[in-house]
Amino acid sequence: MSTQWSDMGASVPPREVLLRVRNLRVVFGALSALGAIGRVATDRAAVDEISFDLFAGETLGLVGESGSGKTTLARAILRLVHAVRGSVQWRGQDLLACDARALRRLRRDLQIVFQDPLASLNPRMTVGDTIAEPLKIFEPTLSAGERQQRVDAMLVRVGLTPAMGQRYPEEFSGGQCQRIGIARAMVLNPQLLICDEPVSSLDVSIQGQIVNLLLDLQRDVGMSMLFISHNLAVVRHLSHRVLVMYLGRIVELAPRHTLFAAPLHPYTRALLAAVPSLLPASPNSAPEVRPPSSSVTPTSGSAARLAAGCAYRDRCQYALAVCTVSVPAFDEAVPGHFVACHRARELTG
Amino acid sequence: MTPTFSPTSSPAFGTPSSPILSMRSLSVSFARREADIRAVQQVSLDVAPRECVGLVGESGSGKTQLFMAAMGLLPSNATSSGSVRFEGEELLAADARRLNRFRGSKLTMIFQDPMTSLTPHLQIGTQLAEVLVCHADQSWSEARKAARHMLDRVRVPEAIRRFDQYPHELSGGLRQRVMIAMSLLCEPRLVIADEPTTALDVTIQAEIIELLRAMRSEVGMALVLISHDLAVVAGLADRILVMYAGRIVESGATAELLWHPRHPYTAELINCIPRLSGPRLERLPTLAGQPPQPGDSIEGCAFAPRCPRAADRCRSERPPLQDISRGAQVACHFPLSA
Repeated sequence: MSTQWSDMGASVPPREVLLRVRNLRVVFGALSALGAIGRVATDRAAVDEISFDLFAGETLGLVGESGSGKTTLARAILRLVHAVRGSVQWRGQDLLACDARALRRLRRDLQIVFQDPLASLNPRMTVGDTIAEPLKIFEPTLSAGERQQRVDAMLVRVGLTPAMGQRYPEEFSGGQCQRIGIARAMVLNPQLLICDEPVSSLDVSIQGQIVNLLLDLQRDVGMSMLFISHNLAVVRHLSHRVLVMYLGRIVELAPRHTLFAAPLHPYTRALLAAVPSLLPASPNSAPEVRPPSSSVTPTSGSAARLAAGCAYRDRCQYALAVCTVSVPAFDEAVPGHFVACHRARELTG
Repeated sequence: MTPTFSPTSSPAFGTPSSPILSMRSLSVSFARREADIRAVQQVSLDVAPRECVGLVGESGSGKTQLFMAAMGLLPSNATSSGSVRFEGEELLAADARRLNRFRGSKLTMIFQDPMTSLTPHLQIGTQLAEVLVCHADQSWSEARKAARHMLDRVRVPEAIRRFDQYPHELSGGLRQRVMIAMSLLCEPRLVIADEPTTALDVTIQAEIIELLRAMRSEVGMALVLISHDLAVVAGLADRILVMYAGRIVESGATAELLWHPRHPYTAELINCIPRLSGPRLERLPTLAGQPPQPGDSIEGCAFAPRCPRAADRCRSERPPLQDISRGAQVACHFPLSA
């Protein structure tokens, strides 16, 4: 898959592929009344046929509604959940195939920041110990003094003070806890930072601080980011490319500018149209939220119906007979712009 | 310092009429071992018939506690003072029996999480019908019929099938539709919606906003929309109130307030919201610092530590909420020019 960087502006990151995901499938067994015996019948794929590349230094935004598989995909990449099929290659090495020792060695390069900043910190460890823990595991040769220096420097780097390292998570606000979570993830200088809704639980006046911190770190350290969010405006702000998921599958992948200016998939269009706009046209006109696209009906799809046809067909105003029988292929409609829709070519025109 | 009050109705509604809900100097505090936490301080506001008032503020600003006090839903360690009148009746001192003459029928509330506000072990139809049996003295068969009709009105697809289902069998969006149906069953005069779309996906959020808009014109109730999201409020409200650290810092007609915010906090808040269109900025605009915690003792203006316009006076003397133009109020010593 060759991807154009037409949207990159002044700072074009190098094109090395860090992460190559191919045909990834994760299945969660829903336990029926029959227990394990009944499992096979109720199994469904939480993510399916996921393929994409992530380049060094790139931020890939990942958007989709709840239940679309964003978090599951992130966890499958880190092998926190088991993928039944597909491959995840990290700089050429298959993460899904490697043994526990090799995995542990690789994991220092792949770190994650979680959505709930307080719940993801150990309440009984001081903040300093929390940030020092990855260093103890991955850099055991460091002396206590060297480790403390690294922790203090990291605290300062994320906008806190070394003295705060003595305190416990409950003494910090949500935004500060997220800074601590970022410090813990970044202290090992990872090459990929997976951010799973890192600003969703924060007030809007704090969100920008965290987003800017991530951008500053990326500028200084050059790590790649997989940035998961349901907030399209935040994703627009910091992503180079954006990946849209619907019920476990990628429906669209495009450079940021293209995705927001000329989305191809009807679902992406509905998603963008649904975001309420803040300002009415003029102070004199009545304020108006853009009406939701008629394609979005109250009956949201169910993953169980994914097997045959396009998962979005029930909500899609463009659906044809073909959409109910065959799953649309994930094709490159325009160079660098991938979409899974039978009618993408017609809708482009 | 006595706060001044604007006319009760928004300009959109022409002739002033007496408000259905009227709060005067409402304060709410929570008893804690160290010091009382003052969540709401000296808030006065009016809601006119058929009006939609948006109330925005960050977490901890007191926006929810304000209306929990009005509904008599404060926890036992909370105390409230001041006055809240609904159609002239004082609610703040009323016992549950008197409150329940309005609460749940003429004065209703929609909560953020429809899963925890519906009863998990009762079928949807039963929960809805119960409202009419309790508040409108209807028979169960009448009530069930009316409830089914209401589910149709809030556009629940396959209402007959949904009627016999339990809350866990419904999606988040459908559950919120059921909550809205429940709040409208007794033809309320005022519905208080507390973050009604916050737990929902953006496409479902748009549908619920549309539904609330449609219900406003069909049912004609007044609506208080509480949200942390200015954009959600902007789409529905005639008038917006902005809360910070337990107090109202600005109020005004929606378009006017969004285009010409007078309080620096409102202006910064609007500035912070990342946009889907327009130029993409290198850095997101931010508001430095943290909002004060409810337990902090504040001298002067609560926003002063974060305010780009703050002067010595702001740190020593709290600015009162004052009329600044017709229908608009601001609590700031140095408001922005219109």
